[in-house]
Order: sequence, then structure tokens, then C-alpha cells
Amino acid sequence: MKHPVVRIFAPILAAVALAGCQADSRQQILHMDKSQVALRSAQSRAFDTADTELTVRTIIATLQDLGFTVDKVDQTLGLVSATKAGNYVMKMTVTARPRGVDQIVVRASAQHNLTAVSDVAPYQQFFDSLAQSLFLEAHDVI
Amino acid sequence: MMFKVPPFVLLIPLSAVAALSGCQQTTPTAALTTAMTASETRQMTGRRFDINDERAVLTSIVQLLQDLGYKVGETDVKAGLVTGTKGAEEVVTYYGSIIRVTVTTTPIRDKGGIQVRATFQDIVQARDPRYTYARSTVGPEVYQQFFDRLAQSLFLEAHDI
Repeated sequence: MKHPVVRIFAPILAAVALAGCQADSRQQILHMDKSQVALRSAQSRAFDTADTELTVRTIIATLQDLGFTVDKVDQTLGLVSATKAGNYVMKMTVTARPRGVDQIVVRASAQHNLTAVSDVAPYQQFFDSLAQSLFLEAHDVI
Repeated sequence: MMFKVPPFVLLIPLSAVAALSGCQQTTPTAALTTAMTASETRQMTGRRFDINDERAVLTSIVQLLQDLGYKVGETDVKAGLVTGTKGAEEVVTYYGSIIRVTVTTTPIRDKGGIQVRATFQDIVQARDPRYTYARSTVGPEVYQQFFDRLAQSLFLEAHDI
């Protein structure tokens, strides 16, 4: 026979543990945990090329290198979205858009399980791989 | 002198730990690294075909995915890409099983021919993505068979079969 205190508090504990992860969905809609400038800076790099088509192809190849499968591609908008499952689900949206006449800005945004990724490290890893595949140096944008 | 602590007081720090652990997020760096190098992955999951018509190769890939019972999703000739899925796209009960594939084509400039690359994922999908996981069923032999079949598919189409 369990102690009555345990019987009462065990479900409460479980509820608290679950509530800990239950973000208010209204907050979640427009939630950011970094400033817009800091986030864009972490997520963007400029490459010295004017070839958007080749850049999009290379983004797809890099995502394949990393084990992602593609959800959607739009060459006109320079957009690729892809998903990877391990013991997690990682979703990436990558865009390539011209900046001036001789540069392309690539921006990646990722979602890990239920949360948007704002850490710098995963983006750095992605751009390192992309720069290698493009044979180009990645420049900071902001 | 000892104070008598009511037992529920002991549960307060426990609740705090539970509340915090409920929201624990692991840094997702593992998602953007792989056990194999990019060139090893490309070698295992790619094959060069001695043909220069990229559109014909993409058509063969679509035909092959139809042969294999995949539903073709995204296709983009400019990007050299075809995607397909087999299994439950919508998770109706708690879990659903889905195989996702992305196949890309790249013209090889110096040597000629088309490099075809496939990426398969065998996923057990949960309604909550935190419980989704990948099965480790996709090995080198899967890619080997896929490319053998693609070679057949290209041959069949070249001969209008």
C-alpha cells in the first residue's frame, strides 16, 4: 500500500512535469528567443556566386550529405525544405536569394522537435558543410 | 534540535526538478553531423550513369518510384529532384510508419554523364515529433538494389518498354 502523500502527489508531479514543457501556444505563435538581428546573423551567410540554380542544387546535395530528405523545392524562390529523423525530428528551411549582382545570401532556419533552433552552433555546422560543397567561402551577412 | 518536516515539503524541490526537466531541450548539433564523411556518403548513395539527358533520367526515376509503389511528391526538373513517400503520411493512431526518399540528378561537367543520388529514411512517426525515430534499415545494399533497378528502368525506357 502506497503512502497517501505519494498517491496524492505523484499525479501532481506528473502534471507539473508535463506543464513544464507546455508552452502557451499563443506565445509560441510569434515567439523568438533571440533578437531578429542576432537570429538572422546566425542563420545567414553570403557566398560569392550569382548562380542561384547551382546554389539550390548544392543546398539539396548538402542536406542529402547530412541525411535529410527533401519536402519541397522552389527554384524560382530559391527555397528548399527538408526533414531528418533520428531519435528526433529536425526540419530545415533553406533559402537562397541574390544580393547585388555577384552574391547570394543563403539563410537556413531549423526546427528541432517542437522548438525553433536559435543556437549558433548548428547553423555554423550547416554552413561549413555548404561552403565545402560550394567550394566557396561563407561570409557573415550582418 | 530537529524540526519535523511535513512529507509534502520534500516534494517541492522534486516538483521544481520535474517542471524544469519537462522542458529540457537537447542541443540539436547531432542532427547536422554524420558518422560518415560527405564523400563516403556520396559514394554509398550515388552512382554515375553514362547518359547526358537529365530529363530522361528524372523520368526513369519517377517510373522506378512508381514500380516500387511510392507516391511521388515533389518534382523539380531545374533542381534535378524527385521525392517520394510510401506508408502513412498522416499519423492516425499513435504511430505510423513511413519511408521517405529523395533522388537528385547532377550533370557531371568534366567526365560527362549524370550523377544520381538517393537518400532513404525509414521513419516511425509519432503524433508528437519527440517520439518519432528512424529505423536503421537503410544500408548500402538498399542503395545498391535501387541503382541496379534504376539502370534497368533507364534501359526499359530507352527501348520503349
